Amino acid sequence: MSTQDDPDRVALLQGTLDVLILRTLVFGPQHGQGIARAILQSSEDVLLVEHGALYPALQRLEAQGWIDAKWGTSSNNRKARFYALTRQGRRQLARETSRWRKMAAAIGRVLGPEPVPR
Amino acid sequence: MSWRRRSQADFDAEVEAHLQIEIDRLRESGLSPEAAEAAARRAFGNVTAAQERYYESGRLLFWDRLAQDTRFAVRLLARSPVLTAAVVATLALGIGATSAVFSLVHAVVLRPLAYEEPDRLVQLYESGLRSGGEADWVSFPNFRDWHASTRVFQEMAAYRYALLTMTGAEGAESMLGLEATDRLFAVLRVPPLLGRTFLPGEDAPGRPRVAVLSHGLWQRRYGGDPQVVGRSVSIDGASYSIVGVMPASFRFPNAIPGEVVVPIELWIPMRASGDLEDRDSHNFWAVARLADGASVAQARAAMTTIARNLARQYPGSNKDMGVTVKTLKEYVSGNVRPALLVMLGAVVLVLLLTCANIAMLLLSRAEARRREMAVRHALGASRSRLVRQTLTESLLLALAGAGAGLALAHGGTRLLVRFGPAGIPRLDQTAIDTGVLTFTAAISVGVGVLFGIAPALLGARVNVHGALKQAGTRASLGAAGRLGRQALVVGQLAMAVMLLIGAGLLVRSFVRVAGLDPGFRAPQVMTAVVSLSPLRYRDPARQAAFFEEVVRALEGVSGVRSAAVTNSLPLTGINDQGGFTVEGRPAPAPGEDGPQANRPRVSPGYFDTMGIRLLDGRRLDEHDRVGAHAVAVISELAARTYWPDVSPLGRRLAVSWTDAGPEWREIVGVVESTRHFGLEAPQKAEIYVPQAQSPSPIMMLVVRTVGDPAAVVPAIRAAVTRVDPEQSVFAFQTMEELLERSGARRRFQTALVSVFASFALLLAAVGVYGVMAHRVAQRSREIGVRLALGARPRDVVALVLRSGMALTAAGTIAGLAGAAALSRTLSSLLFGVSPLDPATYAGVAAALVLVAGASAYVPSRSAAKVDPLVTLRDE
Repeated sequence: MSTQDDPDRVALLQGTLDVLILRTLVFGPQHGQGIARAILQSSEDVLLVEHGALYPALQRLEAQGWIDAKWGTSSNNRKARFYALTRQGRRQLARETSRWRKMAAAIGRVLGPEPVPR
Repeated sequence: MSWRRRSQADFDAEVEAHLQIEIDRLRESGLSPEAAEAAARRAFGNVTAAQERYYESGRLLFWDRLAQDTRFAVRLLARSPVLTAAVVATLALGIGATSAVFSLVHAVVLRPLAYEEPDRLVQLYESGLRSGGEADWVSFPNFRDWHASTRVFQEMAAYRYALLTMTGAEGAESMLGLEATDRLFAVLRVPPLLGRTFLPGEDAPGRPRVAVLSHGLWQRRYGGDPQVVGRSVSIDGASYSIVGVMPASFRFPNAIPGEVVVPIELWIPMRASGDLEDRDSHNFWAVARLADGASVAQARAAMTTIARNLARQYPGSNKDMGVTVKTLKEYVSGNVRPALLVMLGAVVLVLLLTCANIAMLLLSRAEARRREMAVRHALGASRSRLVRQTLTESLLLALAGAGAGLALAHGGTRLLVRFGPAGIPRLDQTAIDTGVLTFTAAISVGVGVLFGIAPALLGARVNVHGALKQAGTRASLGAAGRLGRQALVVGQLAMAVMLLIGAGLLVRSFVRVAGLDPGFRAPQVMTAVVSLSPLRYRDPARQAAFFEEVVRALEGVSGVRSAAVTNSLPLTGINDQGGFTVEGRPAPAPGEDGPQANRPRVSPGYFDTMGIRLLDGRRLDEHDRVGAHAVAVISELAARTYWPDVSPLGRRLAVSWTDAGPEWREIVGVVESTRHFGLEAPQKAEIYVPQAQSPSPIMMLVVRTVGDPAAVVPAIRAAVTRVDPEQSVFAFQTMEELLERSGARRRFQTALVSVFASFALLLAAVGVYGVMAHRVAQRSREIGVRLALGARPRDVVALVLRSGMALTAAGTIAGLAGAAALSRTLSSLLFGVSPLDPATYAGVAAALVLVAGASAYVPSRSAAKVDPLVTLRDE
């Protein structure tokens, strides 16, 4: 990823992007810029996504049939390519989400409770 | 994988849209347009990288890069057309020559014979002291005994050549055919195209006569008529039924070792004749198929035992006769194999030379481009990418060269077949085929990879800083490059020397052979063959009378100086060899064989017509006929060998025997010996007997003309027709043609090797020039300094020339040593010249020093013209 403006922002690992994109699209079709914004916002600016880095992930997801794409018009009358979840995509999201939660819980257990800042 | 990929443009539009939307949002939150754009781009990340990533994803990058490399390579090669043309031309010549010769060798030596399991086929022939240890033809009773006694062969057959005349509705024509025993086709196991081949027992007397046609005959005479099986045809006056046609690829035998290559057109069962029962008449050939599991060694052992048994049983005829078993392959190509392999060796040397030249050319270019490589490396090209790019260039060159080379090879092969000498078996089967194509593809790819890898690796191991610093022309690969260059040139010179020595020795041999006296005067003599039908000319007296009349008729033709007949003409491979008895000479001791000679049956005018000089006594004349005193004329060699201290005139010998004993003949004359078996072949004793006293149904007409021999051909035909309208004459050829044909093979070899040697010399000269020019360019600064410090131009020339001559000396010595080491392989091809002939070696060394010296001189002159101001300034 690129140089970080904010040291608190955590660079995203590869592969996690897929899940986040799918999750974002649960709320309805969105274009690339919108997805990037959404991830940033809902993670409260912690997860940094270089917008450009979204696209390989989007292509991958499209190739696997989990999302569909179509050209359309954005809210401010700009042409944009909108991505939407497919049925398989939804199923994949459910699988991935549960896997992630399990992994996060396990890591949390290993690391122990967060020390209270002094 | 996506079925229909989005175009790059579509993706770019999406990225553009993304950026626009982001810019809009930022502007809404109060940023200025410029700041918004900057922030949007920053947030996006590297736009170009994203586009590149998209471009690269899902594409077969390999093909893409390859296309790019190829396009670039083509542009680059087009920019230096002279170099490209030089490389492609050199490669084309090298590969073309190699492929042509290789296809020749492949067809003649390497390709398997077109029979089933051909390595199980062997040729059998008799050998022994009788024929001087050489292989001799087979006698039929011997063959029968072999057939009955052995189990080491599963099938055996005997055959002989026959000049057959076919008559009928389609006209009369004469052709060369084969009379064979019934199992011939069982030995070869080639199924017929139409009908069938011989049935067992079909060669027994009294059985209906059958004939098998060749494909060519079938096409020519019967127009490929599928209903030809079952038709009857008249052959030599007897009625035969056509039972089968052989496929076009079938040829048997593959060649008559010797000078004549005429396709066999007809196969008929063995006809009755006196020599079928004569154990002394060696007029047949035998071929066999090994039994399953038997080896050639076993066959040889078995046949040796059988031969020994027969020698015990028939001491008169079979004393010390052995049986030689040779695989058919070896038999067919055996005597030309060494020559062809030598040619192949020569051509491979030339190819190596070519490769060396090209390597140097490309090496120079790689050096010159070192700077370019450094720049590209600095701009981000990986090393492997650079290597791949130069590899593509070299492969492109190699493929272009190979393509041109293949076209050249195709034309070259055609030339070889057309102008190649007649004596090489299967020459006409030479063609570019998969074997050759594979070979050519292999060399060209090998060449391409070799040239691609070496300079590329050297160029890629680039010290960027150093390379960028060095000025273009003086860019070099350092000591390794120089040494490599020098080694290449020395190698080239050595190879050129070896080829030149080979060519020189061959040329000297050729001159020796051409200077030999054949024993007769060849110019203005026309020959032809007349084969009398055995049915209509059963009586020998009638045969003799026919030919006497023909000679008389011929002598009456205007333009004819003299005419004669003989049953054994020099240089045709047709002879009448056998034993003879010398009166007064003790019978041969046990373990020894009696004297052997060629015994032509000739008409009286033979010696005059052929221009064979009389040395003593008299020639044969018309008084020497049946009932008169039996006479003979012998050759000078016979006289010297068997009557060394006395005149042979008046002495007696016998070439035929009856139950009453030898039929003595008195020697009435001695003539000069001829080189009957070929200019280079050993001479044998010759005993001429009058054809009137010893007739033969097949004779060759010999006619000495006043003017052009070809002009009398119609007259000869007319004369024969006047004597017997149903008799045909064929195989017209002049003695000069025969003489030329007998020398053709040697001429061919010599010419070919000489061409290669000249080419090699040219390449080596170019190589020397290239290296010297390069060195001069490299040392131009040093030379400038020398000149500035007061050296004379002459000194500079000497300096450069010295290093050039050092290279030449090294190359020449290496070449002389190499030639000496390989001298044994060439010795079988030489005549009258030692393979280590000092004159040739010295001559070649001198020639090379001259040529290389001249090549080195040119750049040395340009070295002297170096302007010190220019070179010293050019840092």
